[in-house]
Amino acid sequence: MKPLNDLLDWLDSRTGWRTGRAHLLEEPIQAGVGWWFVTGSIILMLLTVQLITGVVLAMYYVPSPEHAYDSIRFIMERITFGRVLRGLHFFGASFIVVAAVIHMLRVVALGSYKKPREVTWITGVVLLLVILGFALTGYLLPWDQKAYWATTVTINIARSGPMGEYVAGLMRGGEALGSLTLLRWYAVHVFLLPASLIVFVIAHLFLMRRHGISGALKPVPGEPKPFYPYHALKDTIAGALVFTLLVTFAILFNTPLDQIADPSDASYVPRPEWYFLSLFQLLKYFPGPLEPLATMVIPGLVVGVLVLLPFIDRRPDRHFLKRPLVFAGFAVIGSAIIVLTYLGYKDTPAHANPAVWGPLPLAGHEFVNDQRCLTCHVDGGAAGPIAELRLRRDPEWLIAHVRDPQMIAPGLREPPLGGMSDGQARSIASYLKKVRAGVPVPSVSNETRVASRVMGRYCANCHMIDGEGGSIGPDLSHIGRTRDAMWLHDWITQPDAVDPAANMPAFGEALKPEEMTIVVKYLAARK
Amino acid sequence: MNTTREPHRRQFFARVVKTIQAVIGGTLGVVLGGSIVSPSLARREERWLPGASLSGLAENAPTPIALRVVREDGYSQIIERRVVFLVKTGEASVTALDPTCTHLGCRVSWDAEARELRCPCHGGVYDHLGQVKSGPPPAPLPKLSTKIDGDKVFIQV
Repeated sequence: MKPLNDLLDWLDSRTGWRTGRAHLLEEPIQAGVGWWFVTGSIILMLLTVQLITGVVLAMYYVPSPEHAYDSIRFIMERITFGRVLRGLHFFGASFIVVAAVIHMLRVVALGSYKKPREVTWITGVVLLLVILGFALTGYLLPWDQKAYWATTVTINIARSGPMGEYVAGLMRGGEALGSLTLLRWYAVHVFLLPASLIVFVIAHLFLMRRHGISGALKPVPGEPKPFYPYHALKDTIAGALVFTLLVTFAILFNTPLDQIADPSDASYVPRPEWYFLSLFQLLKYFPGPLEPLATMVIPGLVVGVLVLLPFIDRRPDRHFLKRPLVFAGFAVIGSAIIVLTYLGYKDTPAHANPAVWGPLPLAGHEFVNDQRCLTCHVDGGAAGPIAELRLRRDPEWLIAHVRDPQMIAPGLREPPLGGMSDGQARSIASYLKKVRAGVPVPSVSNETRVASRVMGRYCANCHMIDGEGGSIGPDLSHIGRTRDAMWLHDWITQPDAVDPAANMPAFGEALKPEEMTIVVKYLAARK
Repeated sequence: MNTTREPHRRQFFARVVKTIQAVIGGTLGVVLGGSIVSPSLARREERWLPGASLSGLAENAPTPIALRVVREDGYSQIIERRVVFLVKTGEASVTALDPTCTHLGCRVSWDAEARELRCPCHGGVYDHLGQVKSGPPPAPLPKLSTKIDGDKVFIQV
């Protein structure tokens, strides 16, 4: 080890790193600084995890609407430990929000923000906002349904403020949410915010060292001890427990990834991440012209009060019983946030499970095994097998291609005979979306298969079912609630025999009797 | 406080701190290291692609066949058109040759009159089975595995 020591000695003589390390680690900590004072280190540990997992995610992630979703799926499915990697980053975000709030409550409860630590407190509030900024920009990045629609809501909220249209335009980078939006949110998430975070963390730590740890309310007798290893031990043990919990989350729970963002799908109900749920719920109580109250005024007031807290509460008493107003204020804001979050959570509609296949994707799965498609889409053929395609065309291209392959790829080959109906094309588009999301084809009964095929071939041309299809006729998703099997049978067979004003075509001849029986049964069962 | 025992306590604490931090660092190292390294260790999967019908191939003369090979490129796919020479060498035997010259990687082509595969770059010449006849190539043309199923010739790429 002598050469190594010599090298370190030489480095010390040129840089003084040993003095620097001693200065960092041997800060005297007064007696009585207990376990409550580990919260800051936990955030620091979590931020470090975010930073380095973020760097590795950036090795694979592509910030463009065409590739973002596929690159995230690639991370989750093809990279060793990729699922855990994204899990650490995803759940780490929630952990940080929780840790930051606990840290803030500790500082408030022990009155640590008081003179001379006002600026330390303000840098802390800025850090909290930076962390929320990370959360907000981060969840657009996967470019799935949740990302797209939650960001649409965020940008609409910005529109309700002063100069709203300009702010919203700035956030979108253009007229509509698209590739420019994704790029600028990405740049903010990986360049601007990390830089601000590092600057403010250093400032926060520097000020913490400058004024010392506020410590226990009443001085505890005893010698001060160096930070390392005495307090560092507490920090490390607490950090290890939180880290273990985070790894457990990342391994046990699936990091969500919806279907790919579809701007044309109006049926998707966006819900924000849990830490923004209270704000989201608040919006519901301030409709119309009052909306800016919920989007700007109330959150602005809360942040304003936070920033000004050390100047509002200037008496030196640190015990919270001697600060009833501050205590009451935090209790009110805290309970309001908890109640709103709970109400928002209760109000969240059961999320459509992406593993469940509606009739259209099922029909699409049947249609792609059509001889017309298999003319070219085979191993080694003119185009790859359909189930292995990485589709990066928009749905309109796809529908046009399915309906008339010659139009899309002219001269490539003889076009297969006969195009498909619009409903069939939509079914195939819907099936490919499932394929892209990596959802396995479920095994369903033969009846469901037949019914799905009829839905895709005929009904979906005009009718919506499970959020997909045409919009000329009424939605069939819950038709069984209002119509029974007999009525459905008569109606589908000959609509104008039931109602002379009916404008739906008759399908009595198009459908075979057994198909009719199965479809009627299927629709009547949709309650 | 027992001043004589304090240095030991201190040393023990320091050791615990370092051990825990090493475990945390190690866990992160495994996850991050695995994530960084795994794509470089990924192997290309081999698949059998249908090349041509056996009856359509000329005996002992290489026939160029264009194959459409889908190659994984990270999260996306690249479609390569790859040319392979198929040589029928008997009733039920076919040899597939990679047309990449073993000298510096140019593509050889079949000269039917001279019955040889010629490289346009540095004059490498191979016979119809890819054996070097003259010129700089250090080795015969690489062969690809083939199998015959009925009349169809499959090539492994």
